Amino acid sequence: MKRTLAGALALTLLAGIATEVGASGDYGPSYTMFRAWTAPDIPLDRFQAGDLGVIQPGMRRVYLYAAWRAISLGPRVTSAPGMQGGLARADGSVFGYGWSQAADADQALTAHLARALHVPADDPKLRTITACPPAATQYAATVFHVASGRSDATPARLDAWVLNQQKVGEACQIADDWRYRYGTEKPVLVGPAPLPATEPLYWRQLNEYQRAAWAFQTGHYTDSTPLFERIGAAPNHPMHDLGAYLALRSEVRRVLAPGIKGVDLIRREQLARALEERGGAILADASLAPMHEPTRALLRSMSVGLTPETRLDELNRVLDNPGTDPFALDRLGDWSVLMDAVKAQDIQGLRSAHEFVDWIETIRGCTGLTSNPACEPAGAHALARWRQTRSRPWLVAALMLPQSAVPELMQAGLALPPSDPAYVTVRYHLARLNRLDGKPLEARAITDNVLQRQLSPGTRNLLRQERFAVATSVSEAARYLLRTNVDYAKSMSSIKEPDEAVRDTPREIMLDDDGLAWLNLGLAVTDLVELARQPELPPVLRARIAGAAWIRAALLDKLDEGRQAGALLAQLAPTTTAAVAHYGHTASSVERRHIVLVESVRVGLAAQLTMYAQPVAPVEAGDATASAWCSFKTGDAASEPGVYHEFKAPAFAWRLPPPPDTGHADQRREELGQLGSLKSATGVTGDDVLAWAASHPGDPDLPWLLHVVVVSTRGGCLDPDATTLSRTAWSMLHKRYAGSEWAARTPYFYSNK
Amino acid sequence: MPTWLPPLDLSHDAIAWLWKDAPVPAFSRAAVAIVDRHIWLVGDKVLVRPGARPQALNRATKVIPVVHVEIDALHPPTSLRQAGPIVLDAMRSAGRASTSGWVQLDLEARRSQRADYRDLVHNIRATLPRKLKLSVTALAWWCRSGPWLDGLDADEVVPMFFRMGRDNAALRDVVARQPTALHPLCRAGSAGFSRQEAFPADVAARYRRTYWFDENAWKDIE
Repeated sequence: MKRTLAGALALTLLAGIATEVGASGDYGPSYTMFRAWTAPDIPLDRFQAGDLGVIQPGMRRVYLYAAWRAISLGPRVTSAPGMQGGLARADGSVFGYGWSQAADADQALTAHLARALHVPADDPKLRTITACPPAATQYAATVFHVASGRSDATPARLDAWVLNQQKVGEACQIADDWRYRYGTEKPVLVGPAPLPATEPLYWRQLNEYQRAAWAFQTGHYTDSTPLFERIGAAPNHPMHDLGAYLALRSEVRRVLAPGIKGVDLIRREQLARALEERGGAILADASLAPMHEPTRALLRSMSVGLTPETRLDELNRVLDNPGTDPFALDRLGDWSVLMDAVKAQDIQGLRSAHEFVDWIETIRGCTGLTSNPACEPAGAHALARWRQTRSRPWLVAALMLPQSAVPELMQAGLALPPSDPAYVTVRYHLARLNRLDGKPLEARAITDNVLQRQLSPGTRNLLRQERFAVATSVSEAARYLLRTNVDYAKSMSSIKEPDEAVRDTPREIMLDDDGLAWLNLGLAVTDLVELARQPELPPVLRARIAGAAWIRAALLDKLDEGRQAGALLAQLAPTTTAAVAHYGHTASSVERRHIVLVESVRVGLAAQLTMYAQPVAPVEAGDATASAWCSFKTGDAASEPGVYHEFKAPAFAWRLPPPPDTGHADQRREELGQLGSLKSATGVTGDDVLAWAASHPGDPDLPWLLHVVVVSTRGGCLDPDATTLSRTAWSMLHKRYAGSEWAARTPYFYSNK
Repeated sequence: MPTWLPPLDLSHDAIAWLWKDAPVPAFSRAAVAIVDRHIWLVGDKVLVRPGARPQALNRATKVIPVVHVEIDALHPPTSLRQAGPIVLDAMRSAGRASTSGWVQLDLEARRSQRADYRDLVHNIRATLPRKLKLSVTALAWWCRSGPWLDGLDADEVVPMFFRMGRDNAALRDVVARQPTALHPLCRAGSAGFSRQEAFPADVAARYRRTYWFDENAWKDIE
């Protein structure tokens, strides 16, 4: 299903770049593709030190807390950012968000197990040896190799160890199954048996550890705890260093196993204290220093699980003070986990008690893809809180949430110095509110100024959106038209050697909805020609724009614009040179249109742009279809199935601003009116080819063109007469060119009834 | 937002896809498909992580465990073969947890992975007990391409008629008005729909069994 694995994962970002047309993904540009919506696209160490970019209401609480702290502290946060790497721990990214690479089976160990079980090397039973967590699986392989190298490692002893280890793996597998059980009873398992006392101590000790691990994995904590304790108490035991820690872990599991529902807090706190005492003994033992940090982490985890209300209360009090390091002792990470579990009705109490919770929840309350009625009261609350406190965090929230400017807020926002962590967020919203207030000059000045700074791709996209919206000419708008795919840019920064597919993606090469609406519905042909001349745009995109202008000019029978567009197209995409030259020398408008339609099929030109411009190149003849446009209809007709959707001005703060009104508006309206009455590209091309077949029966391209018409009616944007068109073209192909290659490759026509 | 939901007349089976602690909608109390095993393929890496502890369900509600295999959009694996053993393990584990007699594989393979995908489905079918039925989800555009679905070794194919990518409008039109243009496995039998992208009721009514996705995890219907 199309569910994201985690908010941080980019699952829709291939919509524009994937070569697999029709592949899954959200349709159209993603809401979050061009903004760092759920997580910053700024390195986390910089973010926690106050480089916030434009904070977003969709961000997880850990990021909004870090932003609240930085804004509260102001410029001094740069010298007090908190524990290095703290935010990466808090958001889980340092731990891969819980994902780990499945452990590979150790080949020697697996081969030994296969021999001991008398099964073939690919028997599924052998997979149980890797069923425990990867670290445990690797540890077992290490033990196997060490034990195998001993002089007393007889085949019988190794067989016994390997078979017992398989039982431990089986226990892990069963434990994993139990996690997902739905009403099934636990199976009865038999664990490893103790070795006889006659066996050497070393082998008995390994066996003891396997029995403890098996008991732990199968939930027999009353057996596993004393076994691990014995291991920890035996100084010469090979697993001595792990013993005390694993005994504590076993006890934590034992206490948490029944769940905490119905157990009163006093009792749970008693249990927690007992576990802390046990952990304290480990922390007091200097010889166990390597286990100190895991022990601390285990105790914190225990506290979250056993006494969540106590831990959350304690963390809320600590985090209320922005001067405290929120990252030390995993405070922010634990708080985030606990807050996720707080019921909606209990959040209000926390908001009243803690300023930072109120701030975060106010901002998070105003999210969503469409108009959100919660935004208005949230904005009013933020404004009221700012008026009461005059604090920077509430100034930011009060500027973020409304859809119209409040003069005193605007003034306070303008007074914020460039060194303030809130500066970029505030400036972005000042520009937005000025635009909404009908003050494009102010909006332009603000965005131009901020765009001078070194900004992350997501931040830069947001400011370019605002700047684009207030552009006054085609050439000016062109400078702010393109955006960076934030997900690609983040991915690029995380890998050392980018592959070919993502090499140039950090650059601004993609179109968002505002740019698409402007290109497809906001420009006359003459404006498109002007845009295709802009040297700052990538040549590939300029060629596509010139191609769109050329097709539209042909459909509208505009010879001058058509010649200009054609000349640009030939210059930018030389494969079209011959067709463009032919077009230029042709006197008949019908013939010119035929030339353009055929060329659009041959090289895949389109009258409408998509979010990522592919180079203009010949399409394999058998794959060609007449798909240069779907429909130019706008307004009410745009809601019909298969019709290009009209761009509607956003009514919500987090949506894109509308595209600028530039170029020749009257001409554009007239042209769109004419284009809107046309059939789809399949319909127009089909009618053209049938007419051409009548007037130019000797054209050698006709068999191929008839094939193209038939296959184009298989699906996509079709007109009501598509079935008739399909049948007519198919009949003509098979009657007139019965022995041709293209007749053989067109066995059917398509019925779309 | 469209709020059409499957009827409660039980004339056909309507099953909700559930994640984590999502509530069970009333129409799906006979059976639910729970997505609780996740595998993530990133380049050469096969990443796993434990799923959420399942919620307590009514004993009468049958469970179809779903194994979700995510293919990283930025760094897809060149082949699915490396992930084969891990996916087989997860499917076997899902089979042990099933109380419905069904397990489901949810893997949106790319065009270049078609042969690997079909091999994987074949291997899963071979490794599961015969009495356990194998269901696989399918991208809608596979329904327009015979090589994906012809002879696929699964007991059920569930085309997902939602979030259909750039061809969404055209594919919706085909599903709604030209079902004969779909692969036979996508015309009747089973299909997946989203509550947020509802079709006219007669479309879902063509199918004996429908699966339902809800962007809001069914939280607003209890």
